[in-house]
Amino acid sequence: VMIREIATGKWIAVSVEPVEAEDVRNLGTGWEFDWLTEIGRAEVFKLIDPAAPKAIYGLIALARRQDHVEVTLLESSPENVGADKRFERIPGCLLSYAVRLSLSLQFEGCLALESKTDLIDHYENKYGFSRLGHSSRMLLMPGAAARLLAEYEKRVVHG
Amino acid sequence: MDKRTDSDEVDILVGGVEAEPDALSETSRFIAIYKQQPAYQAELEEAKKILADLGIDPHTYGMPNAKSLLDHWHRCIADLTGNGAQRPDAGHANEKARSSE
Repeated sequence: VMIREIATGKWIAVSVEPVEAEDVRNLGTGWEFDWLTEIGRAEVFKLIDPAAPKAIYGLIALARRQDHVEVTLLESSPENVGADKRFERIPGCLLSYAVRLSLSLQFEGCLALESKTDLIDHYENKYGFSRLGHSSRMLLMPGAAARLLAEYEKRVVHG
Repeated sequence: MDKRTDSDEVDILVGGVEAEPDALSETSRFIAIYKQQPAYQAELEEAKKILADLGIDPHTYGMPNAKSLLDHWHRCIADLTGNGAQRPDAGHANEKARSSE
């Protein structure tokens, strides 16, 4: 998967890996969520640049359910949120990994998450999630999951 | 917050939203009904074609054994809770899942 440096347009190949205890202990300040607590409830994965693996660009927490994978938390690193963020595509790359885990568990890519109200449209339009009724629950079904993978795992040949 | 939907300028995050008590059962119900729809098989076929175009192995979908991820998670928790006896060993590093290009 690849993220893009906004200022330069440069693409960076990154990888998603399970966090180590040391990662969670040394996260630093500015993160919105309590990842130390979350890791007791769900598997946590980090987005890193293999060339500089100490820097964590984003985290995602995934819980295996009966027929889908649930995204319980997802957050870009503090320096990658807001108008001055350095990289884009971090959330999509993390969601792409969640789809892969879902596929490997024979869930056909199905994901679920609880969305903040003002992000529902974004999950639908950008990532292909469908809203469950009028709830805050968003589901990603197999066709949309494959398209999300295609978008975030395609190889960039220029830029 | 910027709410443009055609770029990554929206700061996506997941968390802080309490699920309905029946969220899990409703999700399973939705998925079961969805899979019974006539168009579902065609959707699956389209998805498989997309995955094949990406070069993703249909058996593993590019992931190593998902079980090893669970084992890693349990060792990580043991480490964080002070049970050093269950720290991941160096050999385990080769088993870790990676999704990279």
